[in-house]
Amino acid sequence: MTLPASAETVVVGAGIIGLTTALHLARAGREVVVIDKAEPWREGSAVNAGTCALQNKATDLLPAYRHGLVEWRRLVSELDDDIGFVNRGGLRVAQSAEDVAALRAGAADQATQGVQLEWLDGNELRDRAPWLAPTVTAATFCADDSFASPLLTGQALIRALRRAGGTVAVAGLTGQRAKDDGYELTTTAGLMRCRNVVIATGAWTDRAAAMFGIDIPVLLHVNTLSVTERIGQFMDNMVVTHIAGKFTLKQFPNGSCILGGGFQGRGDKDSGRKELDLDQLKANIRYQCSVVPQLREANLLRSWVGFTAIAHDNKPTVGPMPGRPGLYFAFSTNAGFSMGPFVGRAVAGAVMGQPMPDLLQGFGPGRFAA
Amino acid sequence: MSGEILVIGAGPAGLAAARTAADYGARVVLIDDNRQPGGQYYRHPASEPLRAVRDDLFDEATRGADLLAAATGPNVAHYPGAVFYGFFDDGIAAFAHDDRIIRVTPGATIVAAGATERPVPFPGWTLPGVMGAGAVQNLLKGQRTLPGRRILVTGNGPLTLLAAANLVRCGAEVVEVLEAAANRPPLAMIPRLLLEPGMLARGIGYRAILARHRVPFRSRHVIVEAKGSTRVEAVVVAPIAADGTVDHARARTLAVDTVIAGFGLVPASEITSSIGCEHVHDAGKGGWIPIRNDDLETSRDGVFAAGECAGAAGVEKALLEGELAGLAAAMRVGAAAGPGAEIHRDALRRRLSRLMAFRVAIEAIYQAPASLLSLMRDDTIVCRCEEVTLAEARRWVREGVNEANSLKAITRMSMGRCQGRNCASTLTRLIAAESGIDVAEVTPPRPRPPLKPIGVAALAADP
Amino acid sequence: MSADLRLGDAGTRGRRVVLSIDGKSVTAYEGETVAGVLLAIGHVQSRTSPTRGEARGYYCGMGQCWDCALVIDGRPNQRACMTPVTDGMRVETQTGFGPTRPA
Repeated sequence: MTLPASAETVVVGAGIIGLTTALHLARAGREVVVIDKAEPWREGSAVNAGTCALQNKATDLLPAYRHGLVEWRRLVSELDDDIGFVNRGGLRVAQSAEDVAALRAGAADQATQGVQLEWLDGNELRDRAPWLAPTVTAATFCADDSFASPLLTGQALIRALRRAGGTVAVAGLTGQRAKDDGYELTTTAGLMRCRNVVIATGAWTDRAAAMFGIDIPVLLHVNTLSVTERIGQFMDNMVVTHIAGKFTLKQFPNGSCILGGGFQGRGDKDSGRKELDLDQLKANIRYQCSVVPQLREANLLRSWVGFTAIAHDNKPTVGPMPGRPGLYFAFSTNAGFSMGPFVGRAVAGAVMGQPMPDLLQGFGPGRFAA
Repeated sequence: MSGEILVIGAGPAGLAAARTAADYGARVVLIDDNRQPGGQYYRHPASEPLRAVRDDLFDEATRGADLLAAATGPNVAHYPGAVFYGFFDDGIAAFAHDDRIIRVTPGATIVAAGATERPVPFPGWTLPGVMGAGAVQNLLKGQRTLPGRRILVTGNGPLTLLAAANLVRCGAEVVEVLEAAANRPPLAMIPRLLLEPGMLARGIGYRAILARHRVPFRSRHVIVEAKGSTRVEAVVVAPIAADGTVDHARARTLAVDTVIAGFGLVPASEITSSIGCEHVHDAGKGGWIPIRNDDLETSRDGVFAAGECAGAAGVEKALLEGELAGLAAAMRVGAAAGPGAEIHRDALRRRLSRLMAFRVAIEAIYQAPASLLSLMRDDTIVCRCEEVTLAEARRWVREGVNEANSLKAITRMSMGRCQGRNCASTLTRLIAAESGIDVAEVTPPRPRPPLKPIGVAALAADP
Repeated sequence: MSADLRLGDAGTRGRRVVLSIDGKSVTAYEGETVAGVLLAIGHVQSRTSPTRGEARGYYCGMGQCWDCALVIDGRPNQRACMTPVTDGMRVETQTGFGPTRPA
């Protein structure tokens, strides 16, 4: 696909936020081009675990994440293709006495934000989830916890965007200058003029911001994930998380189990190098098996690492850049997938002159200016 | 001396590499996912008594006895049943063995991973009773058992002829043997054929066996469909016209219960691909192969590739390359040095160069017609693991998904337990055909570790 | 033609073992793989595929395609071509993903 010479809006980054932003713009009749340094949907959004859950999120952000789930359901209804969105609830498990205490405290916190949880222990827990290890002594069930298929979501969004008149092109942003009433972008595929630029480059947000002379520090996490062979359904498509952290597990409808949680591999975003760390990988798998022993019966097919961006205050970064008309930033710390469709709709709205939704107020990129 | 040599694969190339390196005094770690060394070629009978069953026919394991001894020889630590996991930071290589993960930090690595059967999907190719040429060779050599009662052999290349000859010698009823290529050497190639008279004679001998047993051998013929509900009951075969297309008007139906479909080999380049070695597409050698220097070293420092995984070209080439890579790796870790080693290396390079000149003629004889790629119908399974049909995969290519990793993600083609071995080449061919480009221009999906399924239990084991 | 597809006389193939295949008692020889035994007696279907319910059997013969996977001693997804028979082994044709058994 050759790069158009100009567009009203250029979205940099073809992940969940970039593509949903572009989709809403295109469906509103706006001219939009999404550029990405390589094949679209190849980085964080494509290689994450697909978790769209509430129980593993920071309490203060829960209202936004709850709306994130509403937006996921809306996205499902707005797309022609299946994106593998499954809402069968989730279990947050506890193993040690400290875990159980933390789970109780966490559940109380979550309740203050209106998240409905069901406390399970003893026989009730065994009946509900006989596949959990006996060492799991308590769990909370949240009916909202869900997941989607990262593999299916990307192509469905790209297809929908193209049908709506949007363009997706391979072009890496290399620089910019303000020109006339907008920006002239230099890319690896040529020059582009535009009125608005949306930076939705995830882990590379600091690099893109620097091209605009803006400092947005981003901490890089290199999350490890693994997938098993397809096996018979045994855990009711629930999302399992762990109160002690670093744990997500789910079985997709096709039978594959995705083992995640954020054990760290190694990587470098400038060279693109990504490597598994064998000790971390083994710790990850061991932890998973300690909670769901039946996983030991399966074969592991693939492991990989993916980048995710963390802001220093652990908050998402969404909205217009003060003093820089037409420039927007959008990345959501740590759980970009859960919040992605919400952020995309909000940024598209902002580009079209609407105010940012209340739930995303206070997360503007201007907060980084010292 | 710095570090041991990791040899991945204990077939002809890997064993030759291990023996040579060990002879020069290097310490070798030899891993292979089979329980016995020898790979597919030196496949052992499954038990001692079976060794005596038709021992007149299968002497590879006997002929290879010297080489097989290398696996238990001094300086070699052999890990049978070990599955290579991957390379990690700091030069660590890991493999699964006995439900544990074992790590080594090799001073040099020799990848001798062999080859896999070229998947050529045709309607009915997933039915029980359809199997590869390697599958039947293993059944004959390892189990001393026939695959079925009435057998069609179809395919392309010398291995398929060998499998047919072996079946006939074992008393199987082979109804016909179909070779897709014209199977005639171009005149210009005859001098090259004469470079290796022994190998030439063996090939002619296999044809003579078929003739003696009155088994029809038809060049320019191919299977077009296997029929049956839960197993093969019949096949449809047809000639291939001069223009390379299948002549369906002259199709015939044969009653058989077994189909041996052997369309040549694809180099197992997933290990070298996964660690980012540069590759080149070489159709005559079976597909993507790592680029190597005169020492058989890949673009990644200290990683050598030998045998079929660096170009499918037969056991003689695998043995020579294994020996050369073993020597070069021994020189790399400081175990081999001096004029003796250099003379040895030069002799191997000369021998290899003559052999490769001969192989050019073999490649010409067995050059496959393009129609082999179009035996599929819309409802033909292209990905056996994930059960993806041609129509499903092609729909997405026509939607614009013309990059291998993206097509893999959306269709799940190549995401199953075979790790793409039975479908990745179909996937790239499909993209090439729909985009009107050469398959060499379609980068295959990048393999991710583990390159073969590994039990979760092994990864969960301490430490 | 002999009763099965094994080469050589029964007496030359070594120690006998008895296993069950879909509940039926079958005599085999030590060292044989499950796939070798199944093919020898003409039992070519190892499983039905999980999505389309199609019959599958021994295909690559070297542990790579997983089409010959079936249920061995209650464990699903065991490759017939890579598993040697043992006395008393229980082999069952696999349907789809096979039984999920508690670990």
